[in-house]
Amino acid sequence: MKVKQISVFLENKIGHVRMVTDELTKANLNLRAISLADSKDFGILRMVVEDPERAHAVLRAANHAVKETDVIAVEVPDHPGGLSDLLKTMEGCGVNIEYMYSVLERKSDKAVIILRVENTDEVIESLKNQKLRLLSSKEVYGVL
Amino acid sequence: MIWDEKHECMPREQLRELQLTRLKRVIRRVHKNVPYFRKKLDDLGLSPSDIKTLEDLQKLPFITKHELRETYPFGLFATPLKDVVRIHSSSGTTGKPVVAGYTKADLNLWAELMARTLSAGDVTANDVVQNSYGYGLFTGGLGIHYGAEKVGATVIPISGGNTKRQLMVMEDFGVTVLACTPSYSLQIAEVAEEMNIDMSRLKLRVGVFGAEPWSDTMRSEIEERLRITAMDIYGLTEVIGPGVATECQHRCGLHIFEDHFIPEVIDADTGKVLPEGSIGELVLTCVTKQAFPVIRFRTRDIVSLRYQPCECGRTLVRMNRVTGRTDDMLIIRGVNVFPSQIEHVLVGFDEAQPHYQLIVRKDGPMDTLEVQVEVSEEIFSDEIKNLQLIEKKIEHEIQSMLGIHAKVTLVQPKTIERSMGKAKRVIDLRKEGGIAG
Repeated sequence: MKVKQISVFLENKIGHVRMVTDELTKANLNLRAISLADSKDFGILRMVVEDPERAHAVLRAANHAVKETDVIAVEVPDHPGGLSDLLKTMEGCGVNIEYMYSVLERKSDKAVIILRVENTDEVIESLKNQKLRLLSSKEVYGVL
Repeated sequence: MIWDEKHECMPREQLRELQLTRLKRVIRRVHKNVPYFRKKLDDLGLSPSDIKTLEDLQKLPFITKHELRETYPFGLFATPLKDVVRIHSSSGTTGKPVVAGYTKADLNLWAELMARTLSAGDVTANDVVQNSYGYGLFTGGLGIHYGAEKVGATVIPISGGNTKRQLMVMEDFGVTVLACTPSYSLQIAEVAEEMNIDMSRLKLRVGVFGAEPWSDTMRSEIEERLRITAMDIYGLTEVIGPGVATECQHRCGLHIFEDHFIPEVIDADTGKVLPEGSIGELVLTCVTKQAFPVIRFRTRDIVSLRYQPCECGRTLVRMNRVTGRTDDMLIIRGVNVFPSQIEHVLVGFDEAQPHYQLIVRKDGPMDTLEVQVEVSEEIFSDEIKNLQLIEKKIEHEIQSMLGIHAKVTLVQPKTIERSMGKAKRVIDLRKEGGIAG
């Protein structure tokens, strides 16, 4: 149920996000989810891509600082309160969320939230008994 | 005003005689008491008796900063430690600092030379001197302090920092003389402007500035904003501290106190002594100091010398403002910074050889140092707080090692220019000119 997320370091300069997406384009890799976290001096681009290993290799070859992180992808009903219910469940399980973002594209009537948590394995275990659907990496990298 | 007319205005022939007598004496003494120096002379087949004229000084070997570190801490002291009553040191540049020892007589000499320096800026017993140079191992604070007391001025040993308080003291105590680095004086000016303090109302009239390079443009700015006369002083820890040379009211170069320090200008590559007026590296020989008399010390400062007498009446040689340095040392807000020190800090954060670059700028009056560090896979994290923590840690390490703040910026791997051979670690965007003091 773990999903690999690719993070890339970005200087705060015009055109630097495109430098990353261009590499993925050249490698014919599709993005599933993307989020840009910014600070005063730099940014971190977090992405879920269809082939994380290849994406990692491609970006590293292009001299980017790249990191793979385990995240989880949770389905959320696409109606008001859907996310709140999810968060309530997580709270009940004592899960602390480091950051989260949602998926760009979906082909069902459900939304998908990408979550980075501490102790990913434990969290997956404790969420198993809840009425939540965690997506497999295959589902996420593939069509969703 | 001339403090010591006898020596500062001595006819050149007489001065040269005095220099020769003192030179012979110091060479004999250092040869006898410093094994390191004795070995250097032995290796060249020289003995103190080979020094018969002032020109014979050129036969002697140079001493470099590197050798001062090799003999760290007391290897070049020419007196037993029991006769040393004070220790100062440089900031500890490439690893070990340079340690300077002073006997009682050395401290008297130093105070005397600083009295000459301050008198050249017309500082007298009627003045109130705000000494905003740092007190401690750094020679600036105590150097000024004892000189100002010697001329009988009232000294306020305030040291640097807390600029609002500096201004309060300046106003309330009727300060007439400010001693600090030139960049700090502009910081004071800036805060004064923010606080709407009308400097023309204050009694401040003279600034005694040194310890870092500054230009004539900067001088004009200081004079205009602080409503003072800004004078340039020069010195270095290895020689004595401040009190090696000073400007007079004619501002046509800095008079070197030649009766105590014999200057030479050499070609930095060949080591050959250059004729008068040539631009080259300043070499200084201490002829009267007891504890730590350096012989032919290569200062790395680029200067030229002029021997014709000055209108002020001093016969002492004048050197132009220092326009550069022969090594890669940076002087940032009066602190000596070597790229290797920054490297030393960075290696502690990353197993791999870190790629980094120092960028020095002028931000208003102050020099700022930015350290750009390439993000390696090892230190990269997908969490902003972790990366910010690394920036903060590096900043903290640099601060505790050098005592100055550096802004650390993380940059993408392989974006810092690689050059063949020696890496270009420093981009200095400050205006050229000025003097190191």
